[in-house]
Amino acid sequence: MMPAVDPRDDARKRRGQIIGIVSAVTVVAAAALSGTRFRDWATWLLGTEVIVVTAIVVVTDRGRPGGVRVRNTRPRDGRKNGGNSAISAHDQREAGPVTPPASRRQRRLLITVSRIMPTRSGQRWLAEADSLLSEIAPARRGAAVRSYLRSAPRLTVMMWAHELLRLARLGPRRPG
Amino acid sequence: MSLRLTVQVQLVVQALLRDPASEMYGLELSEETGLQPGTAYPILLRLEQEGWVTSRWEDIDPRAEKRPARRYYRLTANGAVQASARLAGASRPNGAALRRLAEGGGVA
Repeated sequence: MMPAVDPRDDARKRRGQIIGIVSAVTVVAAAALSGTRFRDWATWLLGTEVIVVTAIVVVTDRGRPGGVRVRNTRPRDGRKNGGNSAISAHDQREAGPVTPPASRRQRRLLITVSRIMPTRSGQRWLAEADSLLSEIAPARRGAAVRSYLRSAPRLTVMMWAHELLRLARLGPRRPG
Repeated sequence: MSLRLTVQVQLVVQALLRDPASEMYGLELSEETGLQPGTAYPILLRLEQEGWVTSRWEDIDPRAEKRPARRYYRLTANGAVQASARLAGASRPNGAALRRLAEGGGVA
């Protein structure tokens, strides 16, 4: 039997290709600008990276629930969603069905933010936020969502730092 | 890397230390400490990274319970010892300051 093809693999592959191109362009641009003051080209470089990464997230979000252009993705077999989710099937089984915890816009924001985080940490953050928001009193839900979003930038940096340290400890991967 | 015992971290650790053997989930901790969930989460993550706290997903059938599983947190044996020692040495914030912070749902 053929193994099922995960549609997210395509997005990952495309994201990898785009990041590769962007990195190459960035390195060339940085080399070209290296004659100018460090502060100037570093700011330019950082700004470009932020814009490009945001664009990548938006582009690869297409067709994914919570992402851009999610209309008409509901399957016709009666299921509530197409099986795609920001949370992996395994995590969904662990975390249970996701009750809409907040308004659609708030949930979309949480999903987008979770995608900026390292994959597993982001999925856990989102699953935990979903779990908590489904139980919290409706009157407190908005403030809770805002608190999650407010702490997200710092948390994202912390998660990435932890992830990079973890990868550094693991060392380079050997083929095979 | 040593954990900085901010007032918010102290609140979370104190809540967990009240009964070190029992587990608490995010909303419970948030209500106990008065911190917003978004503030408590990074603290719990740091505590987990430092080995003070361990966590697990609740083992339930979400459809039967009609709610998603909760993530439960508990102090490790080492964490309980270290937390007690560090809290004893930490300067205690006064009650009024803690209440003000809790009401504002301060950020860690």
